[in-house]
Amino acid sequence: MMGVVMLLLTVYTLRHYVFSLNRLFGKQRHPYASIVSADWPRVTIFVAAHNEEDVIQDCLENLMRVDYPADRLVVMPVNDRSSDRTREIVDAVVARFPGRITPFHRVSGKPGKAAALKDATALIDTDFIIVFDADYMPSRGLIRRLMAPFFDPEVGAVMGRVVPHNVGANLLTRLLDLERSGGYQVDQQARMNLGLVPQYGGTVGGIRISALESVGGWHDDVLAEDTDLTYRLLLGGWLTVYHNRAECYEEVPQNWAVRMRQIKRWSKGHNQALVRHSGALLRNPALSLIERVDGFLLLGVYMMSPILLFGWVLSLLMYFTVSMQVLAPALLLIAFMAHSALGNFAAFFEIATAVHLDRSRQRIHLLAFTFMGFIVSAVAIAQSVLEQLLWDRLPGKGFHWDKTVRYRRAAVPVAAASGALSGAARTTVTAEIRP
Amino acid sequence: MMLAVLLLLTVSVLVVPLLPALREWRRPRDVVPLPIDEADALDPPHLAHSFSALLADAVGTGATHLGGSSITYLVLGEGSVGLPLRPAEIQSGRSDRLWHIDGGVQLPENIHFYAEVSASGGLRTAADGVYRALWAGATATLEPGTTVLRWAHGQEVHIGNGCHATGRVTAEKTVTVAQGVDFMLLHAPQVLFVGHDGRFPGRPQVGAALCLAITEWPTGVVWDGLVRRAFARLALRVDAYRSWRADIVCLADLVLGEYCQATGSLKARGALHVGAGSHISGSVVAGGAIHLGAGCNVHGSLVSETAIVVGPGCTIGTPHQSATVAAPWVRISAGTTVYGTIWAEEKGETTQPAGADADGIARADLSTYGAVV
Repeated sequence: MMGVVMLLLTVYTLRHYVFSLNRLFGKQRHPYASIVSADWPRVTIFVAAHNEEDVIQDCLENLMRVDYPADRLVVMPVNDRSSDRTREIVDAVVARFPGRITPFHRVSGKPGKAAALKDATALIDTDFIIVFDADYMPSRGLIRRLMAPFFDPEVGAVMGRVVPHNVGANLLTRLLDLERSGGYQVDQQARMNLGLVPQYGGTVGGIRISALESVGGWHDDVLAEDTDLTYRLLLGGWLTVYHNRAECYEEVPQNWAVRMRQIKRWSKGHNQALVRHSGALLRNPALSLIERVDGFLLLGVYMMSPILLFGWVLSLLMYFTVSMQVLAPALLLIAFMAHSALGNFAAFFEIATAVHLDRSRQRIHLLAFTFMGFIVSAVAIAQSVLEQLLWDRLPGKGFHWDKTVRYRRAAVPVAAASGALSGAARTTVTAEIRP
Repeated sequence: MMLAVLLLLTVSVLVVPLLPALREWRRPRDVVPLPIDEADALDPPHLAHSFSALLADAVGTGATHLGGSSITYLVLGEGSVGLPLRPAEIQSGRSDRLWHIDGGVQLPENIHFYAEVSASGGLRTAADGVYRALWAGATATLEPGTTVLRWAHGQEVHIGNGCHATGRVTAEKTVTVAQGVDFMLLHAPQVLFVGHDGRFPGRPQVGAALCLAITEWPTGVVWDGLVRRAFARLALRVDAYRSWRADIVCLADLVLGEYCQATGSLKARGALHVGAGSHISGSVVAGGAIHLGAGCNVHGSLVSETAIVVGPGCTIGTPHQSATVAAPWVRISAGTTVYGTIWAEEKGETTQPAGADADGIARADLSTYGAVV
């Protein structure tokens, strides 16, 4: 048993090392970054929002300032059954930019982002969509960068890079800033470089509607619609592209409880995709062996935390059942460190590589603390796996969407502005869709 | 004793890596969000426009320096020669001053300008001169052998034979490029590549009516009618005079015969060869080299991860539909017109019409085909 654990840890360790070394010394692929002039296609921007009164205004206003032909850009806030002032704020922004925003106020239907996106997709007439979360702040050139890869007819989805904005809030946000850098700057870009499986991440990403339809559209019974879609596109012969220069600011959790809930949600969704797609992935002869192996390892990445914790328990049992020595405490600590290092040191190496590539040198001093963040994540993920195996299967414990807490606060009350709405300026779609 | 030493070592192993982290935590540095490039890479004239704005601001406020260079302001008639150079500049053959000229100017020979030169009218360089950056309110003419290190911008820009445009060359209307030019980034509504006589007729286009419509794709090519996409896992060759309304995605090499008419885009993970006189309404994308035969017409962009060779008389984009030609290595023959941007990440060059014989780059790996239609 211990051998299996060690083998798995070694495989993932090697994978991380290969990715880091590829980013440092390998050939870098940014094939679509130079597309500057083009006949830009029409695209709909979805802004997924569920009780987002504090952040939705910034996101929409930033989208109004992007450098993309206004007549080819449809912005659609997908206001999914919000019970706060989200609708009021959205309508106020709509009034300030007449004809440029088409809000979709969803008042009923199945819960969850995938279900909301599914309903919204039925309302649009563009060939492409881009999805943002409401706390995201798009930069001026972002839409052009995300759309550029779609001139390649093989590309079904595009993923951009997320950069934390509230990085200075506390230690956790700084650690998450490091983690995001490692994940995007090294992990995603290396997979792009090596022709493996970049992951569509659900936000700051674009999708070709025809590709989406050809693989069955949105699945609203999944917890991670992004991972689910990544694998369905892969199996359907579509390419997902990671674009490292398509950067967008986001807000990361500022307290550990929120962070744990967020990572538990990701873990459950990812593991659900593991169960659904790993068989078809490994059997698919159309994919190269390396794509299948990497795709499977990517699917299994959240399972490694419980396996690692299990390995630690096994180590302890082995140690105490073999002999008891006076040096036990010291050796125990060393054993823990050595064991965890096998599984994680390479991940830290990825973060260090990312910081180096980002030329943001002082952050690297916090690297040792990422171990603490890793422990918290590992425990949260292991807990989520247990819940998924046991608790979530109980009657009445089905689908639950756990929204991430926002920390920014709406700067300007919009009640007055919303009262001045012009009926002619509003193009609102209000739908009541029964499940 | 031994136990104490071991404990000390263990604690040291644990604590030492934490010391810099603790210091950074208590005295935070570098806690601003990572900067995001808003527009520069997507806006080729960005450097020129930024300089223009900075210079206008500096002149407006009476500043004597900009970016570490002293500003020399002159009023000259159109095409004037004779800048008031200092003896030390004449002797060293270099000027480090920023020249701001109200009017047109012809820059003197045997002097290299290592700060910006800005003229509100036309600007003409000296042959074989070296310039950091050039701004012209009217036409900028780069005489043969001119080297531009960072950028050149004008209403129109003419690049003479044998110039080295190692930076960006951008224009509000037209960039004209002569023979033997090295370039990195060319950007204008219209970029013309001219030969010795200034034009190249290209080859005649044929209408779709003369082509045989493809109704069935060969075995091995998966047709998806929903997305109108032909998907080939092996190499694919399309015979000459064929027309189709679909995208083609090929995981190996893709070859189109002459005078094909494609309503859609092309993608090959390997090399991609488009036969002479072909018309592609979409984009052409390849992991390997792209070779465009003479007289081809591509409405969309041309993107390769290795090299692009454009034959004589081709047209990329249209006056109403701009496009990008992008690859690490780009070679473009005379007579070609690009409406938009040409971005050669490593090396770009222009050649004589005979440059079309550089097919070897694109055809190197096109020897076998899995399917022919």
